[in-house]
This record gives sequence, structure tokens and C-alpha cells, in this order.
Amino acid sequence: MTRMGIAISLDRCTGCNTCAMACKMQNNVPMGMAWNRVVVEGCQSEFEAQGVYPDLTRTYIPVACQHCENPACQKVCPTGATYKDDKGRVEIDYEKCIGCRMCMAACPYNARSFNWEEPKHDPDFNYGDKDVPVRHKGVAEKCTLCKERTDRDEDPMCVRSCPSEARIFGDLDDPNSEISKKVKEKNAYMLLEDRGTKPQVKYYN
Amino acid sequence: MTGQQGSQSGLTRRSFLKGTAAAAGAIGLAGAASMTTTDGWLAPATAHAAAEEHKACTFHYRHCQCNCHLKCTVRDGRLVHIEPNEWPNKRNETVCLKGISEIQHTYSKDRIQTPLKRVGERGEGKFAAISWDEALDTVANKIKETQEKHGSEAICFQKAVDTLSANLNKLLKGQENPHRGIDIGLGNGFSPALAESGQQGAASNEITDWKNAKTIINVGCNSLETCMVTAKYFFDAKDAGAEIITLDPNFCTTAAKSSRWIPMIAGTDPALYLGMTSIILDNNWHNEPYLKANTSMPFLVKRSDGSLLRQSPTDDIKQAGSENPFMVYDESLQAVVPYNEATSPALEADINHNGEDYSSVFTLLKESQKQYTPEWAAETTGIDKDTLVEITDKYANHGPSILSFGFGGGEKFYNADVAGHAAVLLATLVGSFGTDEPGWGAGAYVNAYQKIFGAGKLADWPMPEECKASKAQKGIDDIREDGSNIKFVYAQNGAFQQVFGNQERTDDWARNLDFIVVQDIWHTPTVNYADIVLPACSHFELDEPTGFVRALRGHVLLQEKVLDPLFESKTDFWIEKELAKRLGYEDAMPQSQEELARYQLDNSKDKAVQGITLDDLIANNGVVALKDQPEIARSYSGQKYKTTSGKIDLYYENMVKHGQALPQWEAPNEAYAGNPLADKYPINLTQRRSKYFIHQNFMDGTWVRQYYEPTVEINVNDGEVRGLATGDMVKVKNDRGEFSCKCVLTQAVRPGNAVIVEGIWDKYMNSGRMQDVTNDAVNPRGKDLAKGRVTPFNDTLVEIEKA
Repeated sequence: MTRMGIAISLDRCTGCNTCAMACKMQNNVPMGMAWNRVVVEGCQSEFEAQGVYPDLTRTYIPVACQHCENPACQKVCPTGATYKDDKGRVEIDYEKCIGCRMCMAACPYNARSFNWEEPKHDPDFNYGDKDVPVRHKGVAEKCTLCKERTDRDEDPMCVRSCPSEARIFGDLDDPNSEISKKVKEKNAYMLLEDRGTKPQVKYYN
Repeated sequence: MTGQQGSQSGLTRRSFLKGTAAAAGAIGLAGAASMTTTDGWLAPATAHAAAEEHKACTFHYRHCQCNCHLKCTVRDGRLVHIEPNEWPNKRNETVCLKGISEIQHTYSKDRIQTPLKRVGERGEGKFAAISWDEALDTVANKIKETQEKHGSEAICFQKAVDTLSANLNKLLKGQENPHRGIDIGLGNGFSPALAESGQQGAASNEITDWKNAKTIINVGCNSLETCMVTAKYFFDAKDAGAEIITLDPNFCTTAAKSSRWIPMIAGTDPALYLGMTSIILDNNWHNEPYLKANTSMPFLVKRSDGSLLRQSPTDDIKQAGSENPFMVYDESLQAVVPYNEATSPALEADINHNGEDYSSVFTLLKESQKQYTPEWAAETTGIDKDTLVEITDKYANHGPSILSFGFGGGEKFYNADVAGHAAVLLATLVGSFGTDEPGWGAGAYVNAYQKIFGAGKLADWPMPEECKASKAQKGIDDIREDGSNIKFVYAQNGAFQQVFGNQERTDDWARNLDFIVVQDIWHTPTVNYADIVLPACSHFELDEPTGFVRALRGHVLLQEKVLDPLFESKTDFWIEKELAKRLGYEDAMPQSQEELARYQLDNSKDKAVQGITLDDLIANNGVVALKDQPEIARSYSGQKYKTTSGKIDLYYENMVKHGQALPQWEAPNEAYAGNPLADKYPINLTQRRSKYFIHQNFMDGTWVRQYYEPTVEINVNDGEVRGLATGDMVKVKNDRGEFSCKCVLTQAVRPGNAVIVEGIWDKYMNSGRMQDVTNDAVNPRGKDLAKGRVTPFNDTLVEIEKA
């Protein structure tokens, strides 16, 4: 089997948002929406830090769809629009999405966005990968693990672009892959492990 | 729902709907009607037509020092995708959020679309569209008129780092970037000791060498945001076991990611270095053989006047030591001998020679350092003494060590040259330079990254002999001074806000200039000062298949055409060619960018460039490696310095009259402890660079602005005592002026400080302009420094209150 995933070094992440910007471009993500974002642990904004000056810490955590092995979103999808594909990615068939947003309520990572209106793009044309489907009002969307790129054996755009080289993409089912080795070596952890969703996005220090 | 889900290469319901509405939003400027807005630019509604798609590669703006080379995808004539280009060495395949955001920023609503002429008052921002002929004729006539009436030196060319003008400075014949005052503060003090070629404090080795260091002292440099593509080398060093210690008043991103952050008081950088120097001397942690062999430390100084003793008396302090040697005291000969003949030069010497008292530079240093005790340094910098001793021990005794600074923080204080001088002294004491030992070095690593290492020299296009820039006028420090004879300013890319503090003074000065022309891509605030505005193409746009070549970052990099010129913008090359025509130099100019690029490559005398042709570049995605580049570059190999003595000249004879032959503590001009002005204006406002912008560039980018709005960052306690909460609109003010924007209360800013991202456009402020409050005091030493006085932007006191 193939179980695609991403491992992210939180030590190397500088919160620069290049991953988020790369994702926006690659996937034609409209204004006011982000498939990928950087959360600053315990803070309202990136200007802040945890603690009291001068005893401070700041941890940037990039968060997108966790491509769970046991996806909460898939379980609640009434139409089968959300599915786990043969490479272990969680994907959405926009044709089948009826916009009920059950998946959004179920996702513990707040990884999904909804097109309440026709998406607005700036500039006003469809940018990004030509093979990325155009979405419309009424469908949910989220990180696809750059399905179009990974199907072509390319790294997801966030991995390709990260200036800190904080991200590793690969097959978690292949024990010899770089990602598998790193996950083992660093004893990588998952977000909200107690939810039992078994994310395929791993984090380590 | 058939038809709703389609790939971007085919018809979609959305593109059909939008396509039919095309041109509805066009503003209707003659000849540009379909191009004046990005609205309605969607794929034409030709059913099921496959989209035309091709790739082209170009370099990105370089003022962040990164020189990314981008692979761009163009679909139906629009820039739709940007990713790192392929390079011979994968480590160079970089991009950051700014590069990617060009998908939007290139089409920004703030692009200048047509040539403009001013119809309101200067600064008011009222313009009317005019033709290129009218704009160019007006500018050319004004150039000729100014040259005839006042001489060419009355023209000031504020050239942007990111311009692609090649010979415009020579056509204008004016002063280029005179007395600019930015990014030179630390270099003024650091570079003379080493005769560092750029005179801006460039590091002596590449940041790729950090992985070979054990101790890295990083002072006030937030490189993880400002030179983002070097982040991987920062983390590679950490992974390899280096301890990265960042000293900074604020908990910036780089501080947060370092092994350790040590807070310090802003503007006290000289005290930090002087304190560390004393600790090294007190403990004999300096590298004595190194100082004897490679530095001016044994040179004898006449105590009565501070002059260095030469074999033959001379008033020419620049006379080469090889011609007229400096003298040292030789311990074995027990005699004063020329430094190049001494076998055992004494590091410490106090002698009487021909009836005069002389001491070695090192002896003077030890004397002068007595006042800079560790206790004094601790009190001045706000770093406790034990911590100072601990990091100095690591720096001196747990090497290889790096001393790193940048172009922000202490660099933008009144005392920056003292800090630079003290830094190079400190680094020399532990033997940082010229040994070729991996992992030793000092300086500004962000500067060295692009232009000191891996830079090739391209041939200059031969211009007629009379076409040359004028020298900067002597006797002034700032071109806004009364004695400045500048009448005409040709400015590019946001020059006015970037160069000058105290903006009201800029307004007064600009009002009285004869003529201002601004050539820019976007409508930056500087544009509002212009009489004539010339819209330039972005780096993605060309009117021929290939454009400029650069030889930076170890490679020759080519600009390929990604897009046709947008709106009515023209390339910088076209603009200068048209001006040349009007100034009578049409035949002297290259007729195309291709001709210029071929000339620059084919006639280069640089061995690293020779043999690389434009055709090689075209065949290799626009990137070809320079020849014989080292894996990790280091300067001063084999202890070779182009200084007066040929050694590291730490004693600055030209600064004797300022009492700074050896670095002496000088407090900041305004933001110093005990300044009575602090009763009224208790907060030190500093400006910082951010990952989102390159100075003013990208301020109008809507993708980038998703993440940032103008915000002054202040400490939680300082905010609370002023009754402020995060998100409140505040007024930041002092006697020079005020501006207003939102605030955030944060623990990440040192109490008593406030921080704001520099380069914010006026129109995004609630009111006022950032430079309305900044300090522009002139340090009298400036006239004797290589790059003139520094603009002390960060040496600014303000009060902050609810707006």
C-alpha cells in the first residue's frame, strides 16, 4: 500500500507562510481562504510569544488537512464525496459534494473551507496548476496533498517551496523512505492524537 | 452538475460567465483599454479550447539579497504559476512567499499604467495621463536645461537596487545615490580594518560556512525573515551542533529560532563589543601570535598626536606600508624596526624613541579598554555580567566562531560606525580572518550572500567619455541640506521614504526642487512627489525574448520574457534608450537588451564569467554556474588584505581627530539612558524588516496583505499603562511629527521599545507617515567615514497614545 504523508520539523519552521502562499497559488485557492496556514502556539498572532519578557518561546505550527488514516470527515460525509484514495490521501469529489458541511464540523483540525459564494480570485483569473479542478459556490475544499503534483511524482508545492527545508514528503508505508526514517528517528508526533484520527502529517522537533 | 467541474485548461461554468463580462471594468485609457484592469482577464469563452501554456525563467527582485531564479508558467498570456527554477546545484533552488505572490503582485491595482504628469501640488498625488512622447520629451528637456544652467552635478539619481537601468546614470551625468545614509552604518566602522571591498561590512565567509562553526554570536540580525532563503544554512549549522546565540532587544523570529536569545538594550551594540573585548583582554583569551603576525596591533603610535610611526615621516596616512613601512618594536633586537623586517614584534610596547613616547596599538587598546569593564558593559547593554563572560568565553575559546550582524538594529543608530569598528576588533582578537580555517568569520552575512561571494564582473557597455556620473558633492552630509546644489532628482522605486528620516524635511526640500521624475513599477509614496512619472515593467515583462543578465549567487542569471509589458509600461532599458535618443546619444547605446547582454558576457575580463554565452544561458533555463567557484567562499585567504599596511588595520588614523582611532563608546543620539527627552517621549521606536516585504516592495500585494496590516508592536505593560489593547488605533508621535495605525500588545517587544515594519506605504496608515517621526541627526564624524553619515532611523524616541 501507499500512504502519502508529510513530516514537518517545527524547529526549522520560521512561520514564513511560504507554504501557505505556495498552496494558494498551486491550487487556485481564492481570496479569504487558506488550505494551509501557520498557527502560533498559544498566541493570537505571529507578533506575540508565550511567556513573559524575557522568558519567551514561540512555536510556529503549519496546519493543513492531516490526511488522516481514520478521517473523521469521511465518516460523516453523506454522499461519499470525501474519500480516502489509493495513495492514502483524503480527497474530495466536488461533483458529489452537496455542501452540507458535516465534514467541516467533524474535522478536529479546522482544515476545511467552504465556498459560501462563488470564489473570488485576485487577479481575476484561474491561476495555479492547469490540472487542478475549479471549485464553485457550495462545495467544501481543502489540501489535496497536491494530488496533481504527487500523481506526477512531484513533491507537494509546500514541500518544494519551503525555504527552511522543514518539510519531507513521502510514503509512510515504505520503511526505507526518508519520511519514514525521519518519523522513526525523531519520534514524530501527531496533532490531537487522542482523537484517534491517525494523521499522516507528522511533526517533530 | 455537469460542466461545473473542469480543469483550468478547459471551459468551466465560471470562466464562461466571467469571460462574457470581460472589459466591463476597463477604465478606457487610449491604447490600453483592455489592459487597465485585471478584472475580466479570465480565459476567453472559446468553448473547450485547450489553454496555451508555456514556461519561462527569470530572476526575481534582489533587494532581499536572495536572487531567486523563478520558473514561471504562463497560460493564455497570464502569469499563473511560479516555482524555483532548476539550478546546477539544488541548494540554490529557492523561492519564498514574496516570489510566489507575484502571481497577484505583478497585476497589482497599484501598477502605474501610463506615463503621468502632475496636475496638483507636489506630494498631493494628482496626475493626468500623458503620452510616452510627452513624458520623455519633458524629462529630456529638463535634463538638458539643468545640465546647461546648473551643471550635471545638480542632478541626483536615486537609483533603485532593483532597477534594470544599465546606463541611465551615465546619461544623466549626475550624482548617483549621494550621501544615502542607509545600510552603511556598521560597514563604516567594520570594513576599513580589512579593506572590505563593498565597504558595507560584508562577512568574511559565506553563511554556508556556519555549519563548520561551534559558536555563532548573532547581533541584531533577523536573517530568517530578511534573507529568508539562507534559513536552511542557519538550521544546518544548528543541526551540526553550532550554538547560535542571538542578541536582540526583541524576540524576533531569528531570536526565537536560535539556540539561545539574550535580550539587550537597543543601540548599545558598541558597548557589547567593547565589553567582550575587555573580557578577552582581561583573561588573555586573545590570539597573540595571530595579532603579532597579521594585524596592526604591534605598530607604534606617537603618544603626543596619535600618529602611526613610519620609517620616513609622512602626512599621507594612506601611503602604502610597502613603500613606507610602519614601525614596530622588535623584542629580540630590542630596537624599533620596520614591521616587514621584524622577527619578533612586541605586542605590548611603551618606548621612548628619538625623544618621543611611543606605545603599540595593543598597549593603547589595553589602556583604552580599562574604562569598558564587564560591569560597565553589563549595565550599558542590560545583559548581566556573568552572561557576557559566558558568551565571550564561548566566542573566544569554543570556536570556530562567527560574529554576525545585519542591516537593521544597531546599524541604524547614530553610533553604528563605533559598533562596526568594535566588532571587527573583537573578531580580530580571536583570529577570525584570513586563516582559511572553516567556520571562522565575521560581518554581515546577508550582504556577503549575494554580492561579495559568487559575484562575477560583467563588462560595462562602452559609453562616450563625457557620459559619466558626477562625484557626490563634498562638504555636506545629507542632500536636503541648504548647501546642496541639487535641483533635479531622478528617483526610482520608493527612494524618498527609504532614504530619509524626518519626512517633513523631505517635503520642504522636495517642494523647492526644480524637477522630480520618478520611474517606478508601482505607485509607491515617492511617486506622489513627481512632476513626471514613468511606468516601468516588472521583472517578468519584456519586449524581446531575453533581457538582463546578472552574475550573482555563483551563477550567471538570465531574465527571460515571461509576459509582454503590462498596461503601457516599458522596460527600464527602453526608457533609457528613448532618453538617450533625445539627449543625442542614440547611436552610443545598445540597440537591444540582447546586444547588451552579449556584449557584457563576451567582453567580460572576469575568468569566472569568460566563456559563458547568452546561448548557454538560453539553453540552460537561464542559469549557468560561474567558473571555479569554491564550495564555501572565504575572503582574505592567506592573510591578504588590501589595507594600507597589508595587515588588518585596526587603528584608524583618520579618526584620531574624532577620538575614534580605537573604538570609544558613544551613546545613541536620542534613544539613550537618561535623555531628558524621554520624559516626554519615553519609547524607542525601531523599524524592522519583515518576511512579507522588501522595504516598500510588496506593500500593495493583496496576497501578502492577507498576513500583515500596519501595526506598531509594543510591550504588554507599556500598552496597558496607556490604556491600550491589541487592535486599538494609536498615535505614534514626537516633536518631528506623528502617524497612526493599529497596535498589538506583545511580550516579544522589550519594555520601553516599540517596533514597526519599515516601508509601509502612507496610504495604508490610518494617518501620517512612518518617517514623519524618525530621527535624521547627523553625526559629525560622517564626513570622514567611507560611506558618510548613517541615517539613525532607529535612534528615535516617541510617545504612543490612543488615537
